[in-house]
Amino acid sequence: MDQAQDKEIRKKQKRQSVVNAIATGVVIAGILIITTLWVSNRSQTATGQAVNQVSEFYLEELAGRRVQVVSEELKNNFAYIENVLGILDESNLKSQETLRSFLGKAERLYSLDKFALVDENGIVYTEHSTVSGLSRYNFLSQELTEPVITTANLYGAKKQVILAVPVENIVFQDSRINVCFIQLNIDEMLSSLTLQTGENETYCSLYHRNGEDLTNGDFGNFKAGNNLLSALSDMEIDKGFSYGEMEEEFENGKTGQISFKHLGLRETLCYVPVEDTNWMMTILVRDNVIFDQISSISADMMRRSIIQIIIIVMVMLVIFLVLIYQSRRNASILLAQEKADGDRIRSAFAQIEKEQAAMENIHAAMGSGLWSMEFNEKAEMISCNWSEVFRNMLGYASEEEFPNRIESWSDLLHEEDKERVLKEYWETVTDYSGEKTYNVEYRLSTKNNGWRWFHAAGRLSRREDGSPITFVGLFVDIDDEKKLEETLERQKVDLEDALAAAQHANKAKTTFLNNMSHDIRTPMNAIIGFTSLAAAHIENRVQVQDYLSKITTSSNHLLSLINDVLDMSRIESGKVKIEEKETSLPEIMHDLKTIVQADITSKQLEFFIDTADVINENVLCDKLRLNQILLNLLSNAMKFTKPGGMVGVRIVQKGNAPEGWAAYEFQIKDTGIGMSQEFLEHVFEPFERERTSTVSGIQGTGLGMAITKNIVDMMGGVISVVSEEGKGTTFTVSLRFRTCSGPVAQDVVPELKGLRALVADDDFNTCSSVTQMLSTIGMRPDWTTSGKEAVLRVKLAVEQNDEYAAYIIDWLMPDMNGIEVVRRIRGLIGNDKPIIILTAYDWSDIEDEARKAGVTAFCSKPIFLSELREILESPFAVKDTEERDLNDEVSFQGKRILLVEDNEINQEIALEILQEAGFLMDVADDGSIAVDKVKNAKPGWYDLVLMDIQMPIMNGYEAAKKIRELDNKELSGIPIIAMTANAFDEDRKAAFDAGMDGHIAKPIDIPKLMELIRDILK
Amino acid sequence: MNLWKNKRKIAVLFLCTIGLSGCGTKTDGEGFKDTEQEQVLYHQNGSDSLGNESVVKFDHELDEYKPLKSKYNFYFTYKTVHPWWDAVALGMEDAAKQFEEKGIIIDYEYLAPDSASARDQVGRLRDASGRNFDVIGVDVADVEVVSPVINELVDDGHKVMTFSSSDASKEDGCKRIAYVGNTHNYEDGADLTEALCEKLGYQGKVAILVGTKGAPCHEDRALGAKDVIGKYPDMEIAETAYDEDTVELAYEFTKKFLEEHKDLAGIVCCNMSNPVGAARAVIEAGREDEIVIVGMDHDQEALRYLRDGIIYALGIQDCYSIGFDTVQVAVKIADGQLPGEGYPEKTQEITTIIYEDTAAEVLQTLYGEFK
Repeated sequence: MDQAQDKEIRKKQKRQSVVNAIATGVVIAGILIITTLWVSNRSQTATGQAVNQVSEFYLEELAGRRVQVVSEELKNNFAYIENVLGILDESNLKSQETLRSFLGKAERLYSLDKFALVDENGIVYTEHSTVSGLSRYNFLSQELTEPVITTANLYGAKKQVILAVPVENIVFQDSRINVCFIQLNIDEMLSSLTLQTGENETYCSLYHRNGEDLTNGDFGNFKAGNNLLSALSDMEIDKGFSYGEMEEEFENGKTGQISFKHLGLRETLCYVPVEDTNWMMTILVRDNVIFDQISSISADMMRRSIIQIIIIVMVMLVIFLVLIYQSRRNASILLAQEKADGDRIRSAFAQIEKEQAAMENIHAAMGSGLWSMEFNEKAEMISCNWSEVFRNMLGYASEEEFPNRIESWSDLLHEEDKERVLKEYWETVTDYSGEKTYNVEYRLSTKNNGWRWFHAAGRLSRREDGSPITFVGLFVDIDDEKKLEETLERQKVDLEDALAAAQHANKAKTTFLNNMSHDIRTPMNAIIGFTSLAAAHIENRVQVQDYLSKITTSSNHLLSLINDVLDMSRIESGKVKIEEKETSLPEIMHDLKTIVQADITSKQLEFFIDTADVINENVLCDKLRLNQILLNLLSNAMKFTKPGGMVGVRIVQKGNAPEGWAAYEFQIKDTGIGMSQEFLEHVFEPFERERTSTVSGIQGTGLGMAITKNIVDMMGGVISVVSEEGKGTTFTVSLRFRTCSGPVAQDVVPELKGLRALVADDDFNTCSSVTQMLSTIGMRPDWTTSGKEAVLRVKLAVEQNDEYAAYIIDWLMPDMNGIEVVRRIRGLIGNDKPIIILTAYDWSDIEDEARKAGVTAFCSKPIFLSELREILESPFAVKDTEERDLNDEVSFQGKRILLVEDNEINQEIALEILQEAGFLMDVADDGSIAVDKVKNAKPGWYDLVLMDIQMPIMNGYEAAKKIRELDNKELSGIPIIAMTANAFDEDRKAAFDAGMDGHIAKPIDIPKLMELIRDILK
Repeated sequence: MNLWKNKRKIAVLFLCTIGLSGCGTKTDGEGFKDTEQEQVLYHQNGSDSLGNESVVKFDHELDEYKPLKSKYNFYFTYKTVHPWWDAVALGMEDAAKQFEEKGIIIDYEYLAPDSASARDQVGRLRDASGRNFDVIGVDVADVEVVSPVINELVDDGHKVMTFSSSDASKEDGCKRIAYVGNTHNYEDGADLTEALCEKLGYQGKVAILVGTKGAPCHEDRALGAKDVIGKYPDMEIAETAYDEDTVELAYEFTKKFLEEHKDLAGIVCCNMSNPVGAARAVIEAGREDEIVIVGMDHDQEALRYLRDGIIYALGIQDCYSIGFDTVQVAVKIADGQLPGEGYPEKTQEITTIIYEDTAAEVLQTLYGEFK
């Protein structure tokens, strides 16, 4: 084909293209015009139908909203009335002026036409007037029992809405106010509900259900005052509506609509009942208003559409032709460019493949796995790709095992990391600002190696709007590094803990040393100071005695401090053990009482000690420690209670112990200085002392309570404290012990059954517990807290010939001394019946006088059931519970003691004390000398050996053992008492294990030493 | 007698004539409108509409007078609790509101007993005299009983006026300062009876229901009625009864009239309640086509009977204007103005006689009621 032919063909093609383009344009234009006309026509028809339907909904909605407004308005106004009545008070009802002022304020506050009160005579009070209202306001003709909404229509006045409520409890000028009402302008209420824009009007009005007009204005073409139902009955009603139906609905207060022709206009009326009234809200709209408007809009729209389409078609044709021309011109250029681009792309792809291969090699070498994800415009993931390297890192060999899904990875995340990692992931993906970088460390479950740590980092490429396109990143296995980090972290924490512990220990040591330095130096200062003073005034006997007394006090304090510190130290180091032995609680309580007796007397304290419900008197417990607890608490109570105050101890058996166990509550109560609430929180901490106790000069180590608490803890018990400053303190120790014998016999004593007994004690608790015990053994007890009343009761019983068979009388009662009570009772009953004096005090001083007054026996508090039983079972051979065996007294005169002591000063002190007591003394400087002396002595030469423990050459234990091993039984059986500064329990135990008979700790407590020697020599 | 059938134009002409002829004229007062020379009575008949005129003038505005004080306190007492005086109260209320808009506060009491009692009224007046009111107003229940007390109060320095429908004038020996209200009760009674007589063709028996014995307005109307009937030889007063201005008594008396006077042709009613009671009894007896009833005032039920042809004519007093002008005059009296200085001694209010043809319009005007 030559060039001319080719040109001709191209020309023809060109012409054909233009023709085709024009034809296509014309066809498109035609189609568009026809379609537009058809659509417009259809839309007009559909619009008409839609308007009907919509206007129905619209009207109902419109009416419904207005009804809500009216209802709300009415409710609000009722609320206003309630509000106003709520604030009406006596001051407003003082006079006509005050009431009028109040009513005026109410009117102005709520913008009301009238706010009025009506009294029982029908007088209506308003801001400016007081008028007779019975004939004017119909609703006043009968008693108002509930709120009323009514209308007033009087003599040409505009119609008014009246809201009235019944009122109670308001009296004005001797007349009861019965009603409160407000008057609203109904037209004002409706004015905001009518929509009017030019000639397009929607009318709104209110009617009674009987059709009577409630308003003062016209309603569309309905004149004001016309009865709506009557007016409608003459109208031409549209098809599909019925007047009868409408009338029924209207009268029954139902929502509905009706369309009709009125004065040549087609109108639609919608009616809706107003809540809580017999009113109907009516909305009237004229159909032509809507139709005309819509038809006009529709025709205008159609015209505009046709013009628009023609212009578009013309423009399209021009653009089409220009494009054809331009495209042909560019085609050849593009062809050449495409060829060149193709070459470049192929070359680029080859380069990329090469780089990808290199990258994969690098990842494999570095142990890092590549991953990538693609997202659509909605940020939804459309693909996910895990590299083979990553799969291999997790132990998976193929895509079948580890598919390209996000769940393949997320399901393997460790539970502790999952939430954090996924949150980080999604925050990165959804961060359209592109600022966030994905960089996390987490654990994944690998196929063969359990959990391993990985580090993942990635970045997103994003669209212009910020939505994600591609998310590419790397995984790196950091498990080894992580584990190393964890190990280091652990070591660091351990080191820090150790450091903290060391620092704490150091601090504790410093604190301890500070405390000790202070607490030891204080008594030491006194000892040294008074010793110097005594030396300076050695000639002045009285002064020296005073100094020595103070030295003794300070020494005792120093000793108790040392004892406490050592005790505390031993408790804390776990050296103290609880040793359970059969123990008699009565014995403990009596011992306790005996120990504190002297202090109680010297401090002039009132002392109560009693029991309640104790039926298990023998238990397995560490008597020593229990004693220590009670003594500590009791000592504290005495220490912090001023003379004249009260200290009391009570033991109560609780019924909550399992079988074979008994639970007790030891209550130690005082009326002392008490403790502050702040101090109470630290009372059981070592070295804690209430500020007031230090200021008041009461000595103490601050360790007693800590020791007590520790011992209680060790015994598995609980200690609690209740205290109030200035009122006193009560410590309660709850302990549980195994019982070692059954309960005390609780059966009735036949000889006493039914006999009367009288208990007189000013302590109610004692009366209560003793009375209960007496009942248990079958007696008929009476009790009184008054000595005088006790005498009266006895007198009455004698007169009634129903005498008491036994009398238990407290020694110290406030209104009459127990001895006097006994004397008087004896005067009434003679000498037959037993009278027992029950007391917490030492009665030795008054015993003679008491016996002369007629006391049969003395009984020490606290009294236990077994003791009471024992006394009363043989009341007629009563003996004292604490009868003294005077024959047991031992004389020390001529008794010989071998003192084994290496320290010369201690030797001197002991020799002085014992020689003064009448002993003949011999001394050995160490154990071996002592053994020799005993061995070589005649049997009976030495009556006793006092053995120190820590001595050179041979210690006390070994010496004792050697003595016990002597062949001569008389010599080997000599009593040996350890007299040592080794004062702990284990030292005591070691002494006994070595065969010694007793143990006394240094420094020597002389009375204790004498008592021990007496006991052993007995 | 053709006057009663004239159109509105004639009525106005009649009124102008009366006005021009002067009934106790006073023309020197400035700032007050209703004086004795003004219209006294409208008669409406044969007109479809009241046109621009109304039986009640609701478009009152205060005159130019500037009160001296910013606050007044009045006491008004009237015969009995009754809707008629409620209409007066509306006029008072509106006057007080208009004063309030000008910054002048009118406080007032407007009280009455449940049934008319001159003794009760005297008690109320004496009580009010001790309460420091600026002006005391009274609608006189009984001239003879109340006048001496009014005089006592005036002698003690109190300012006392009369209002509403019953005056106690100087002629009665009363020292009250001024009166606002109906000054033509006799004429009202006479005119209504004249209309009745014409309707009956000037023959037949007529009964009169007066109202409260001693109440000047009721007695005056009854007197007017009696004088008119007395003029016609073929007419006769069958009976006169005092119904205490109550519907119930009026009903009972009418029943009695109908039973005892089978040839009874008409009933003249002199207060607001008795046309209602009379109409009820006539309807009950089924004799509404035989008995012609004329009566007073604007009771809604009575207006309905008028509209429905049971009652023949009603004389409607402009109660609203009475109330409005009473307050306006009271302010001037309180300020120390004397009659003639800013207000007449008697401020007269109109009465309009209406018939069936305009009853519906009046019902609409006064009560907004359409059939």
